[in-house]
Amino acid sequence: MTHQLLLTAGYDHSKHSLAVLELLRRKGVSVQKVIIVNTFSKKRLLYYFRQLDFKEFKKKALDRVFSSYVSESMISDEVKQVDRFLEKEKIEVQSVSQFCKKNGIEYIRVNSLSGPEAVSFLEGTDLVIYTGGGILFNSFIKKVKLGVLNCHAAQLPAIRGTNTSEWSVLLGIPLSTTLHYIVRKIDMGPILSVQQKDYSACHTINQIRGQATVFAIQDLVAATQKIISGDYTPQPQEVADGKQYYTMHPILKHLTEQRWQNHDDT
Amino acid sequence: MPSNKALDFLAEDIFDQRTHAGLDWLVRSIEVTADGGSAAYYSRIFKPLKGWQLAYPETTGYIIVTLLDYHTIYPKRGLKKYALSCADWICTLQMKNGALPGGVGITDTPSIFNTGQMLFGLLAAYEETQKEIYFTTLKRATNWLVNSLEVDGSWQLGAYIPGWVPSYYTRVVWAVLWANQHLKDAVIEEKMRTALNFYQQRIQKNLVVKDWAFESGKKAFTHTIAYTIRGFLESAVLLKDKNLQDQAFQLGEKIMRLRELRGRMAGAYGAGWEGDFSFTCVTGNAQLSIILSRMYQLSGDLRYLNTSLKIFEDVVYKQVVSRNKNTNGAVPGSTPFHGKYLYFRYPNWAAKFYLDAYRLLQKEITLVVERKTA
Repeated sequence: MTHQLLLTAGYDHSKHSLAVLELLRRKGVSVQKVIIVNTFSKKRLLYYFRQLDFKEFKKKALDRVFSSYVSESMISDEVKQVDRFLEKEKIEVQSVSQFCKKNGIEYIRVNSLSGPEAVSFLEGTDLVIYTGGGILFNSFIKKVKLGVLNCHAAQLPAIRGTNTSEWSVLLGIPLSTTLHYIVRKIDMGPILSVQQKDYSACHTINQIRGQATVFAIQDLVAATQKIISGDYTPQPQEVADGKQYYTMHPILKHLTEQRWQNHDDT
Repeated sequence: MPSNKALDFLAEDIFDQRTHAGLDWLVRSIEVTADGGSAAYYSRIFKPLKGWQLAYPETTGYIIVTLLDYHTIYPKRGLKKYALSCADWICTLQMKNGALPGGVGITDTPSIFNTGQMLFGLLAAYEETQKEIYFTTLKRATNWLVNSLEVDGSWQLGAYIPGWVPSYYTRVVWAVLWANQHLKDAVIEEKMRTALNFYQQRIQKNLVVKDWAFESGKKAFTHTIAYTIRGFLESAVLLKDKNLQDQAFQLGEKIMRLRELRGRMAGAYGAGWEGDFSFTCVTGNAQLSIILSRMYQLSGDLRYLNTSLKIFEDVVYKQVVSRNKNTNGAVPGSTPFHGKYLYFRYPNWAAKFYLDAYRLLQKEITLVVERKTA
């Protein structure tokens, strides 16, 4: 039975999305459709304006949009980690839209995954592989037969939310990835698997974040194959099982970095 | 140990500089009044001649707590002397029935809320010195508050606005319960439980507390929102009431979510949490930071400390740095300065809560650093 697969990309230059698409292609798994969220939408810029200070915003822009055009010294360790992976796997760096064109994959660009254009594009989709694009609403989620697959960079249900690698380190919770289906409530969807990962080669939090992305790429590819062959039994989560974590304040981030350095030195 | 720079506004030099400036300003607010209390605010617009308003008994009361707290880290500053002179002044204001006055300057209008706030100062002064005069005054004030309680647990008389029973009276309950740690009267505890129950009924499903604004039909400034939540929280701690503490935590978590999802606090909120983002209530931010820091202290949940840092950081650099000794170290009512809360004024309670929030964050981050690097 052929499953209709769709992938969401947070932005056109998403290396994360590109890597998942290419590795699935190599494994003979066809993704029929891709939705690319526009990089510079008003909603996204407003979100970043509220959440980040200017320094962090600049860093994000450099990493996500301009990393191919600036010198390596201006790119974060997080992106370098992903770049090294792409190099090792011999994945040609190109935009998601370019990849789609080369491989005959239908794609659209949207400002929001919750908009009508994105939702109607989902028609007939069995599984969505989520590699970014923002919060999903029920209008999107409920249209997908099997579910929207996500790889969360921490142990669920313990650490829901953002900056999950940082919170895991600060709280002493083993760094892990969790494969789960997305539901309306953030990070509360049924869990497919939780795997502790080896971050011993990472010396900084940014490297951990980059490595988490690499693990997510690998896990999403493996999970997609397993789902298609009916291999998972998702386990539901209860609200009370975990907590919602938010962007970490720079003071706590520095303490987290310090904690990882101490852990690294032992 | 993280570098000083990494600790940003909690770096030792910045913390010292700003807290000393804030304390200098509070001391000046006491020195400029004729009577020993702290001037309500400084404003050349509202007080073109002198700049300083009259002494404000209510806020003088809880400023005592701040001065005595900072005395423990800056013992050479003489803050204890100022704190006790304020306490002495408050003792002179007490009416025959035990009530303490509302308003600025010296009035004969008894006030429930203001008596409660002065009770904090009297308690701190008594705990510091064990002086009989403070105990007598606080005991009489407490008895007046308790005897003024209606059967349903509300306070009707001595209101800021006649007929308006605001939910931020939970802060008065807290003060009375603290006093009862010394008075040890079971009747007082029972009556305060009744009072708390009265205000608990006002907690709505959406976690707004009905009537927590200054007046009916208006949005509530974060100042009175924080008063209300803190009153619930600290009362719960003193009563060891887990149910009430859980409710207080729910209210605090609502604040956390608001800040995290929006990126800043509004200056005031309506009955459906619709925020007025045209201004920031600086005092309110400091108070909300205190609440979240306290929640962290009580639970060990670092998320609360995380958001507390953000809420305080939103206002930490709003403290005035100036060569004018009347404004250096002052904290405005609102930003922008013309915002809806205490516009064009530097209230003494803004400086007080700013200093309290700062101190609490400094204490807790220091402990986190020590634990995480151990």
